[in-house]
Amino acid sequence: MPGTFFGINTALRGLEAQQGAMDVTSHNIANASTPGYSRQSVDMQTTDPWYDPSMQPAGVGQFGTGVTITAITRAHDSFTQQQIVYQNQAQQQQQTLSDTLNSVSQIYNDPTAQGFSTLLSNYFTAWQQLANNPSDNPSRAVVASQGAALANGFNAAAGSLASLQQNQDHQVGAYVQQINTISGQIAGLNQQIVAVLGTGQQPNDLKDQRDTLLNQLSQLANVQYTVSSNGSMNVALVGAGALVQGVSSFQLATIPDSQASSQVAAQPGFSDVVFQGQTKPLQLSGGQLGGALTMRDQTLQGQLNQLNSLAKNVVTAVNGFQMAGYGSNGATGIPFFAPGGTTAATMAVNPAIQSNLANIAAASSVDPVTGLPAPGDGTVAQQVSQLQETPPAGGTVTLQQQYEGIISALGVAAHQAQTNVQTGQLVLQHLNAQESSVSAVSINEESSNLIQFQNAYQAAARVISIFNQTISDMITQLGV
Amino acid sequence: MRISDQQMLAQAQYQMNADYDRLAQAQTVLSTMRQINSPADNPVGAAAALELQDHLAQTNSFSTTASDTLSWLQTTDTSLSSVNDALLQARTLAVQGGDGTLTQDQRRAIASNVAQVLQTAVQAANATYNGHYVLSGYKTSTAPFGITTSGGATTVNYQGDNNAIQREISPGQMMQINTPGSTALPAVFAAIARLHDDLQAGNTAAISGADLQALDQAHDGLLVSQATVGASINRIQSVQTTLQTTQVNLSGQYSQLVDANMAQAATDFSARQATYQAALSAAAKVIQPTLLEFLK
Repeated sequence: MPGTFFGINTALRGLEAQQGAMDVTSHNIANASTPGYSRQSVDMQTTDPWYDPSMQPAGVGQFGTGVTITAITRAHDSFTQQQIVYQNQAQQQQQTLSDTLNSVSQIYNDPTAQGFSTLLSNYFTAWQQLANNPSDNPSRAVVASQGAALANGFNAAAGSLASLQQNQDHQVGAYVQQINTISGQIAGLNQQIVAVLGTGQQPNDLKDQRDTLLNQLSQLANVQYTVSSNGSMNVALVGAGALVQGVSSFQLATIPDSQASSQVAAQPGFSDVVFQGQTKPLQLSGGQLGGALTMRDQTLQGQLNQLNSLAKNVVTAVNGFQMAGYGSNGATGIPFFAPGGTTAATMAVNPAIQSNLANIAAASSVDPVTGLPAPGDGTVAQQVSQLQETPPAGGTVTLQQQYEGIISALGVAAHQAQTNVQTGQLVLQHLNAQESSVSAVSINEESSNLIQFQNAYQAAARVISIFNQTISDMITQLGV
Repeated sequence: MRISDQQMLAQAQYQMNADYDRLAQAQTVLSTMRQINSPADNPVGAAAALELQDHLAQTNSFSTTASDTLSWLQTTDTSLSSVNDALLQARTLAVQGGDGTLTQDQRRAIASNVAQVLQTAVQAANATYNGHYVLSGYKTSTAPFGITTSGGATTVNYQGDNNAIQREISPGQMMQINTPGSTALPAVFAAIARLHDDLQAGNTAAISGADLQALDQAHDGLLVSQATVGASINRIQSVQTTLQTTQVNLSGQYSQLVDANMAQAATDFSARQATYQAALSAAAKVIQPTLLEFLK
């Protein structure tokens, strides 16, 4: 038979177990609104039964000895977490793309009456009016000023695109710093978690903290992670290398891109992302960092390239006709747009035109005697205005159609990005709901558990009090 | 699926934000009265709208050109008519002067009449539109005709050139708007000038013979020119009508594509407002009593 005080010990174990369970429940309730918290639960198990320790045990043996808490575990769905990590970076990339394309749309401000396309059509209309009145000075003034407005429009658009690029470049530095901070923290947590696991305990709260950091990191960049057998989480940047390996973290840095290195950034002077101490630029995509790099080097650069191509075509086509024509003062070979300015940022009306409107070539020939063109000759002006309907030399679409192509492509991309953002939000919403379903605290559940444990505690306490009475009876009744 | 308290709140927040976003979009449409406020709203529509905008601007420009051309042609027409009147007057005077019974003094009187007629005709031919001479070809700042007298010979010189002023009046359509003065008028003035000189000199045979013939031939040539100008006027007027129709059509198409339907925009806005308010009131009830309230 087990000893006199055997029952009290069993009841005591029950008391302790229930009290521990209530402590865990109270921890859950306290953290009911903590973001990233996974609800914890106790694993209760019966303790080893007692039996008579002899070669030939007598009696029935195998008396149960009570209950103990073997582990406190957290409810966590690691598969859903992986999905969330992946979705976060994809969503941030699309969000960055959508925001950037919206900004670009506002630069062109089309289709409205104050948009870029109005500048183009006003310019060619001015040439048409000059063709009708080649000797008319006010008409020349209008052509010069519309030309200046068009060139300014190109300059402003190019300037805005460049400044958007600069913004993204600055963001790169900020994101790299954030990534470094987080990866350092993850490495620190890894150390603590491994230490705790080594003692056989479950570092639930530390793991929650580490998961929260991982979520933040996944919004910044496209990362992959694995949890090794000793419990540390190894995180790697997809396509680049390890960020966190056990207890060490590898820091990122930015260096200015130079012509000499493998030019990864779109323009020299922009920041390349490298591992600290190395010079090989990393090709990153996904998350806010990848998004900023992609916007800066591909999306915005692509827009700038398209704008530059349009500017170059306008300048080349107009100058081509102008230089072959004659101004009202007989001058020839004077380009309308400054010959060095063939990009959107450098396009400008030739100062020779602005200082002397007579240099604007409207006529196609001059009188051999006077060296001046006939006042009614507007054929070259006519040719320039016909650029509205005929493609320039060597081209397949008119200048305005080329611009429409830019806007159309921009619209499609922006629309697609917006749709992707909305879809992505829905998916994330769904994944978060799934995760909540497993990990989040439900107060109803906790409070009903609390009742259960409280009742069990009360019962165990009652049992102790009864045993106390029994032993007291034994002592008083069986004694002398 | 197991629902936690956090999840209820997250769901309510997501829905409120989504509805608010849609409400904001409807408000933008309502306040700008445009369906397409940025290329992303309707990429294909935006490009089409731009093209319509360009065409409309071009059509307006062609319209201005067409009415300018019409005025030019009308000036030419008036000028040629006046020359025609002068020619007929000269012919009457030629018949008068060819009468053999006249004295030389009488013929000289008629000659000075003819001189006046010639001056009137040349002045008419030197008509301008907007400060440009309409019959000089490209040399629009030079008067096309000038009278010179030397000895007993009167000559009218043509000082313009033979270039045709071509203007684009609709896409791809070029039209010659001028009649160079060298087409029919030199014959007219030469005939009148010869008539004058012959009257002055008293060459009666020539007056009623060769001079009359020359006047008639010149008249035929002038009529051809006038007919051509008349045909041009008809053409430009029909082009103007077409351009006006095109303007109306293009404006209509543009408006259909870009402008918002007032009734629909207002209805949309009201509907989304109602949805948003429903989401708000649902969110207000998201904080439900828990089991704890019932455990006392």
